[in-house]
Amino acid sequence: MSFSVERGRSVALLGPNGAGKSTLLLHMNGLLRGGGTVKILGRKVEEDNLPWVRSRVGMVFQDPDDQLFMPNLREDVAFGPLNLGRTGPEMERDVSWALEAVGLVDLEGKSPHHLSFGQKKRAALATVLSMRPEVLVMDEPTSNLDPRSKRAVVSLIRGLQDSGTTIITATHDVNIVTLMADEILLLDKRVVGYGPAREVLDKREVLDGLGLEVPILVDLFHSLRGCCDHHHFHETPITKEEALEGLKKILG
Amino acid sequence: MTSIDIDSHADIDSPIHRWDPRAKIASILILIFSVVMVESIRVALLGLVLSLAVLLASRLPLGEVARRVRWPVIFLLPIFFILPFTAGGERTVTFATFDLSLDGLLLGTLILMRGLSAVILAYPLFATSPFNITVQAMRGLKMPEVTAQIFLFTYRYLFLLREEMRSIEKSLASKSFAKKTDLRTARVIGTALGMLFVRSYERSERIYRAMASRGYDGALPSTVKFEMKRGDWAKSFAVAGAAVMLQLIDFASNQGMII
Repeated sequence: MSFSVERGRSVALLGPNGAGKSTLLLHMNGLLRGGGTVKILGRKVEEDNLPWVRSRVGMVFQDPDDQLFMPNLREDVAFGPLNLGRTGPEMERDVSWALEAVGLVDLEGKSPHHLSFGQKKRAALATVLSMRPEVLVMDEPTSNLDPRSKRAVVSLIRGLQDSGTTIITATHDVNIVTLMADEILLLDKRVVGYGPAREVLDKREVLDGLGLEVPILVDLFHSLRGCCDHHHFHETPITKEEALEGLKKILG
Repeated sequence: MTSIDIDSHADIDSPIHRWDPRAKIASILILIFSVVMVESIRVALLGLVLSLAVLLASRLPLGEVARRVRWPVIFLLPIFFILPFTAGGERTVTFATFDLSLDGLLLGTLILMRGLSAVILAYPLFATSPFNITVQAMRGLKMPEVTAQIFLFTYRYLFLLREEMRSIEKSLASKSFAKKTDLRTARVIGTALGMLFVRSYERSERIYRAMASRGYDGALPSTVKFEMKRGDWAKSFAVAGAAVMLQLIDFASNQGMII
């Protein structure tokens, strides 16, 4: 497989179970090594530069209990910055910023086993944000979250992207992909498709072939296309705003 | 306080809770060593009184401590009851048809009091600071890094293991499994424990990856900082001094210098 992600973009990895999404993410942090080549910010990932790679690429794992290993939240969030050699006010600033970004400042003294699942998910994100990574790699960051927490994570991801962070997210949730990704990489042990989110999500037969869900708006407008031939959409709407415009056209 | 939730009384306000954890661990450990080494029964009684005084100063709930202390005491009681029959010696007391050894009775009482004192002191030692602070303090006292990390991770993941075991138990109950004293129950519980072990092994690999991805290279950094104040020194001298005094009194007592 071969692909490249432009700096500052947000890419979603979509694929069925066992497609290799998590494995691919582990390669980006140098946690798994294969025969090929992975380059991060122009530098090849090698044994010698793993500390550099890990200081640039932040990795959020799927199960937050794997990521929260320190006795309390603040210690966990400080773990990365301390390993990077940050101490004193600089470390304190990064830790406080990360906790604030995920809305968990009040729980900083809590042990992970006293946090709810949603809080743990956000806490896991904070442990990586505190390292101020240039590339953020996330494995299912919104899985098993309630709608409000999902929205909070999506808005946080967008905010990070706006501040220049490159984001790569493995997910099953096609309906939120449009909210947080510019591009989609379809994966099934190889690259099945890669391009702007709108183009990839419009390929219904490819998504169906991979056993993936078609986003609800795309599904709706594909059906409308079938019944309302006289209405032409240049592009299938993938956001709520685009869908509203499309519906207005249909309803005259 | 559940069996593994030793942090539940760590936020009480008491002189023991406010004590610098490093000084507290070192001083109370010295007192424990001193108490378990005394040879005179009267000094052991004094040691027991001192242990109770430290416990009272910690303001830990006495009822709960008493409930927990009974288990180690149950292990000590057989010694207390057996020694009078087996120790021998010239001084005996006749009870019903048995000749009880007075030396054995005194030795049993001495062992019981020393054990009880040590167990009582373990509560102010470990239950008056959050467990991670206790471990960080032990690192400050030069506990090997690997041992400290094993303690910290065991404490962190014991809760998760408990949750996973509970979820396995619920799953078994939902499939109408009821524990009985038979081979099938043993087999099912054995399989469940095996599954827990495999899951834990896999989780440990994922945790290591998560640590490595955040720059872990064998050392566990910490934000915890300790500072010894005048009060900490005073408490340390008081408790360690009491430990030394116990030994001196015990020595004098054994030498017949005091009755």
